[in-house]
Amino acid sequence: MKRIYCLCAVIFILLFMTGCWDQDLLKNARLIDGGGFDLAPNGKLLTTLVIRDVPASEQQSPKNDIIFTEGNTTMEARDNADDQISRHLRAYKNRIILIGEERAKQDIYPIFDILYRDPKSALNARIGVAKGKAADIFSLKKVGNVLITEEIDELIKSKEETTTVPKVTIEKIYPIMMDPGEDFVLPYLVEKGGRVDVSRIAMFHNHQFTGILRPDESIMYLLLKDKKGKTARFTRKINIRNGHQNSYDFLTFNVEKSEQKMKVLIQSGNQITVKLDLKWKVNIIEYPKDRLNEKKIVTQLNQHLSKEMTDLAKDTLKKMQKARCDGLGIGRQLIAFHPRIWKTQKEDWDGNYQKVHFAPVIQVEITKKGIIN
Amino acid sequence: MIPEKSRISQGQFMFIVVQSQVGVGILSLPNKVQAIAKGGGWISVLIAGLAIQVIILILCALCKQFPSDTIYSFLPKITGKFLGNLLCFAYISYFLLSAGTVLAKFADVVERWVLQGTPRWALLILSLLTCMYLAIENLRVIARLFVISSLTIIVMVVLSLMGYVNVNFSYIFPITEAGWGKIVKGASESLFPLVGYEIILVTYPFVEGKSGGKLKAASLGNMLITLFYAFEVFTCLLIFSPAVMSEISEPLLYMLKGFSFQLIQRIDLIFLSLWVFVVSTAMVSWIYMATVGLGRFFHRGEHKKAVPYAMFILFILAMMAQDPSISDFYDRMLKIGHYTFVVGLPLILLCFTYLIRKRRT
Repeated sequence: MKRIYCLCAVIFILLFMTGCWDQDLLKNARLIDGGGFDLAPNGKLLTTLVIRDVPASEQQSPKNDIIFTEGNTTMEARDNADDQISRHLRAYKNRIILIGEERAKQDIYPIFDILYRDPKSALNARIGVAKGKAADIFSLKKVGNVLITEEIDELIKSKEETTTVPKVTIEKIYPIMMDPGEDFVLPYLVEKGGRVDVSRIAMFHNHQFTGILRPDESIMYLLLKDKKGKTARFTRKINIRNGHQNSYDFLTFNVEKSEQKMKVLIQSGNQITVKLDLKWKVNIIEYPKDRLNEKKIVTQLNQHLSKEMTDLAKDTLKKMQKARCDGLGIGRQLIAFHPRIWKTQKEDWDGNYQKVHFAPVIQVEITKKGIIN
Repeated sequence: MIPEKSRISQGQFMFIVVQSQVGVGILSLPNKVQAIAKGGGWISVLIAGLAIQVIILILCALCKQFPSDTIYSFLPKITGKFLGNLLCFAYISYFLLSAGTVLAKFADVVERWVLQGTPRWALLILSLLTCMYLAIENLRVIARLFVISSLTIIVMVVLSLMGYVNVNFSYIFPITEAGWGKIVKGASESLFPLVGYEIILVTYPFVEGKSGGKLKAASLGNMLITLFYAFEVFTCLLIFSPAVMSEISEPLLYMLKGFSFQLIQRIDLIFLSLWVFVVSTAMVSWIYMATVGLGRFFHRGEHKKAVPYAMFILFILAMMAQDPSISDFYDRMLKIGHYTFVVGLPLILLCFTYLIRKRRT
């Protein structure tokens, strides 16, 4: 008898002790799928929020709802958006954050503060910089049959695998953003005829957007940083003899394996030299001219590609120095391994970084050529 | 004498030491130690572990003199009845304050990370009830649960290993940036998340076997935990750049927040729910230490009867710690208490007993 009383009491207590303080039901939430931040003409933050509406029945496909609001801070803009929609805005499932070019030219950290501070935010959302306005890209609503946020997210993901853009999430750039010795880079998105193109890298310095890398330079930068994805493809013109240009003159290769060694040397007069040695094993993907079974031709190609790639690396690094983007973390290396030099340089690292001498050497070795000779 | 049913094996003893040491402190340790020792923070933890090893030697040597007495029964034997009993009460209040601080800190973390809307009293009551359920049992039952809950530590190690996908080794260099003086100072800071080994004073007589084996078990437990802490601090130092480290107060949780899987997006929440287990075991061991003393004085050795009002005291202590100035005061008191009751006093007592023994022979 006593046991039954006890059981009743327990059930009774349990009924009244469900987690009521912190419950946040999905049916009362509107989930933000993506957010865009632009500079409004009055200097405020123009926010574009993409909200995913999951339909009640399973036959219908989910739909996007887009809201534009203004605010001084990210949260104010979000609150303003919340005023215009039913139920509560929630950012747990945010997948993508886009920053418009003009806004990106200012310090972007304030946009992210709320994301780092809020324990409920999703830190694994991807980030990108949009050419023109982020609002314009989100306004596409759909690309083909795919919802815009999903399309951008998947697109960036696939481009990470082809070493075109860096793997960047909100969480991953946090340590780099706060570090004085390194700058981060982000994917650069361009809207082109109703589609989104992701093939470039936007360079940042001091949380500010300072320049863009071309597609091949983007791949080169990621290889220099030793962040190769699954594939990394280049197409180069092979102009061993001067003839007129035709499609026989081109060669496409994939970097199968890349070994990177970076050394920061301090020479007399505090001249910083960065030696970058890369050894690539490449696979010829496309070469209509053929005759790859001749050893002489292969050696010639190796030399030619090594030179071409070294030049490309030099151009890339020069461009980065011009943009003051220390994407390779040279300052970080100085802090860690040459703290005395860093102390003298850190005051004017912006200028000093541009004086750093880079000496990249890339050795290309053709190891595979497909199933024909 | 010690009843048969509350005897524990040496393996269990090791886990008791482990579980008493691991608590809520590890979550914020990387942040605190980095602030002082910079990239050398992990060395600080190792130094702290060594220091604790020395203290464990002292404690074991002291307990060895009285193989069938807990601290509460041998204190009066050494210092005389009045002073001994007074000291016993000092120890009881030190243990209670420790338990209260752990509880308050844990409630803080949960409030900040998961249950923002839940009032503090509800959190405290829920965790205290769970602790009470375990604390009223005899030592053997407690020890068994401690063994099981140690699995959570393995989960933590595995989860941290995932962080190595995304580390930057240059963040810890230059290792001696802060200087050796600061690294040692960092060690004194990391001593506090490692406290809990005081449980030796209370559980020593319950352990089966010879004194050498007991010492080995306690040392092994301490070594495991020191290595675990050093590993976690090291991992956090690699993942977060120095500038970020000072911004986030619970680097360990923050690290987990960024990881995500296909199935689970927020590992930190799942982890924190598991960690409740580990924190409550730490709390139980403090409560056990205190209630054994209370039981000896007021309930003829039945610690069970002292548990309910000890819980009440803890509840009050943890409610008061809502105010940061009071929780800072607790921390300061604990530091003083630790150095006097766990380092200083046992050393003096040990010298004392040697002297007494010598005079008798």
